[in-house]
Amino acid sequence: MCPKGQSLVELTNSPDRILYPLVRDGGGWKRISYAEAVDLVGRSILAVKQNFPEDFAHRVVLFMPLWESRESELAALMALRMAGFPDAATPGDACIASAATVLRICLGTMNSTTTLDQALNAQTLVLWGANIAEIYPPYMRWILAAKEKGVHIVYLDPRKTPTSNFCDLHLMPRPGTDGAVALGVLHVLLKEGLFDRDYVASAVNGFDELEKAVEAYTPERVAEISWLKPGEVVRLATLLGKSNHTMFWLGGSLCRYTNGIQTVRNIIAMQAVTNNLHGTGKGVMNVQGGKPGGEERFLEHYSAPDLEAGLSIRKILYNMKRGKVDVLLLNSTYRRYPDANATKEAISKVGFVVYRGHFMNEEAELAHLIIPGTMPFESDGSQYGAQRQVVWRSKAVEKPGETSEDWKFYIDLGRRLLPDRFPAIKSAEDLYELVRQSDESWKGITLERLKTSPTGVTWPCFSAEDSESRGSIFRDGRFLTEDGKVHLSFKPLGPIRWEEPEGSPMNKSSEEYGKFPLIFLQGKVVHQWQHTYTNWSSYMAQFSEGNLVQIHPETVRDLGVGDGDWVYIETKIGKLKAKVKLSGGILPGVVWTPSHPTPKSPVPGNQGVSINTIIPSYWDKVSAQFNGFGCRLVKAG
Amino acid sequence: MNKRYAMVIDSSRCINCLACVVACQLTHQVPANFKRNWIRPGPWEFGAGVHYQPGNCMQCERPTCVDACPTGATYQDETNGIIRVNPKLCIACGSCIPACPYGARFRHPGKRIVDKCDFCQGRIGKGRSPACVETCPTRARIFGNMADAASEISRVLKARPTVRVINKKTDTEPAIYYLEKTSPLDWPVEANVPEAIRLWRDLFNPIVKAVVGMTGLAVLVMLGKQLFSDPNSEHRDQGHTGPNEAKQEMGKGPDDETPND
Repeated sequence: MCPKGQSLVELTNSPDRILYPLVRDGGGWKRISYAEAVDLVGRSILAVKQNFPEDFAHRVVLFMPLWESRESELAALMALRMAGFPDAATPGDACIASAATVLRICLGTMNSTTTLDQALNAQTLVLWGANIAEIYPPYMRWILAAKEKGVHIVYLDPRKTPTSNFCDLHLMPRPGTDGAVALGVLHVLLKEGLFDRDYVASAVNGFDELEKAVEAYTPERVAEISWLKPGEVVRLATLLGKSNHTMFWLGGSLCRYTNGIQTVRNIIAMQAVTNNLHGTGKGVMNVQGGKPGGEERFLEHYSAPDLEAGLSIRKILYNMKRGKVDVLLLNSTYRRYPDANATKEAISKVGFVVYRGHFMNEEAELAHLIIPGTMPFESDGSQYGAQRQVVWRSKAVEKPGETSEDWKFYIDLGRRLLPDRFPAIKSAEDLYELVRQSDESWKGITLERLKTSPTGVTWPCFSAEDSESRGSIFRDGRFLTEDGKVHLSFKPLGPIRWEEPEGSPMNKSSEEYGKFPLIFLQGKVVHQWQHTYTNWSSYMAQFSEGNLVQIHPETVRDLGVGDGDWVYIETKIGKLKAKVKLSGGILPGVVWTPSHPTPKSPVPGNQGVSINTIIPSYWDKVSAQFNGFGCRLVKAG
Repeated sequence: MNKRYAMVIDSSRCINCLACVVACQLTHQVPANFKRNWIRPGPWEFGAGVHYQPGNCMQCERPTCVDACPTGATYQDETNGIIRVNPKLCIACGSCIPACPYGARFRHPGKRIVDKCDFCQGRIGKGRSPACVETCPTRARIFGNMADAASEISRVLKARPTVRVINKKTDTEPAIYYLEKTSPLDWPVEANVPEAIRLWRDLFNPIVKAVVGMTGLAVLVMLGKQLFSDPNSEHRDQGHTGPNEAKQEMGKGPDDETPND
């Protein structure tokens, strides 16, 4: 288990938890009943439909998730879509949407393409930006088992982390240059003939474009971009070119740059040309790509027939700013987006903000109505892990006060909005069954089977008689794309190349160039989720020191600061005060700061400035950037 | 046959995830910032990063904390080798704290006793492993009975070279064994048993236990303890009463049994 999971014991019993629905009453809050709260939300949404009969669709918005189960997400989408509201901002926009998008386009699935047990059959395991020891401690047992079996482990990360201790080769490229490193490796692979020519001919679309694109990415040029040595690029290429079974685990970090799409595609291309996408000990794991699919049919069935297409988060925020959103169901943190203060300002223009959370945090501050949710121990429901395994969680304790499960709230809301049409769902089990019946890929994962499998059942599973589908998600060597091939070339993704991340201080045409010379990195620590509820745990806070900044001694040689001194990290939109941690475990010229602190936390260790208030708003076609832009350090008095 | 509980720690497997520390605190209701166990980072080594070394009370064969205890509250359980604190006799005087080379003891802020790891006495009595062992995602800790030649720990001790982390001047013969190449090795401090207590115990030791256990002295100790203890002392995480009426009892360790002798 990891410490974050254990913090739930404290958080569930926390005296700071909100236990009853609260509505704004002058400057304070007034307690109301759960039924009144549901009614209030229902009336507000129905009023929108009444006031804007022609164009109500985008005036009600849902911010996902913080779901305590799959059923909760599905219930929320179902309630809003049936009522004609398509806008649901997913956390992916601020997370791994780039990887999911590229995987879907290139391979036809947005999931991890294999399961972790395959790491034991690999010859080489590449953890690319995937700091498993700190992000996913429970999965370290696979890494250790692979290591013991003699699997060669390669790790790419600009910082030394506990994961470094378990790899045979640790390369530290400059943040945001991973896509260039991949192209450099491809350059060597193609030049040296270290790839599977026959396989490429039969299974890969777009190889010609790739071949042309990688020509310019010589090891020397890539070394200049990435701060690696040319020999390191060649070494990685040779290693991968000679490995017969290579598995990649992609870190979410690769998506936190505006060039995330390029990076992920280039990495997939490496696996494609070496024939390592499908088969024993091969494939691509995607850190947060464990979400099972097969829910589309269910959601389509439970949608208004004339449902409009949903808007992107940027368009939603734009609408909010102009007062064109009347109801926001804030089910998660708005601070997950860059320039959090701008997001806050946009939300403050929304007429009625409903917050479903647990504590009096920044989101509660923006709310007009708070309807507190349950904690995971207090509800039934299915959940998923990193490799498409579905697990059933049974309620362990009763929910306190008038808290409510997300699925229950959204089902109740659905029935309030559509009393005649909304299906009668009484439990998370009812809803699970409804979803299971709707898609072939779920048929084999019966509730009974799920409840008797403590480690879960891997999706997809087409019949109760089917054994679990471990290993590759692809059957018969065919990818899930239309023609069964890998697609490297796809116009909307742009040409195969690498570009500097937006705002990079290395890019002469960026606003940051010359003024903000250091490269900014933020990240999770092992004992905190981002921004959210672990900040309310004193057990997690005991390992935190608020805002701090990890820097290489060389970086601050001229600044005259030492370990424990205070500096300001300044970006083009803001600054925060952070305590200096000198460390040899980070590249010179790069600064790293933890992303969890919040000013609202009741426990000192977790108190600090919300990191995304100083993150400039840079986006690519799919998702937001959180790292790789320029910043500077200024000595604080 | 008497048991001899011990632990073998493969610190090369430790990822510093801190799960063992939190699991222990939750199991024994130790408030945040007080710890019965720890993960100690080794020195930064260029090219090698940081090595992490988990630890907890070493359940020593020659326990200097027992020597330092004036009331006999701290003692070694002869049936299994575990060093325990009898809460009825402990007056939280703190003499044992500097007597431990490992800093394994602390004054519990809510209970007015000195607290320490007892290998999860309550859990192992029911055949379970200590909480830190069970929760470790990389299985860095092996717990078991060294007196049983067939146990996993005995087999590992026989098969693999181990080291013990000791202070050169006061080797307390710890029952925690590290697989070789652990680091750091030089951190335990010299045990500091208060001179007065050492003299007193040297003089009276044979009778002290009997006296404490059987006569009015024990009653005195208990009375004193009640006088000293502050019933209102509360920690943020402990026994909070507030608007949260439906407070659950999770984390109140049913596994946490204090010594009942």
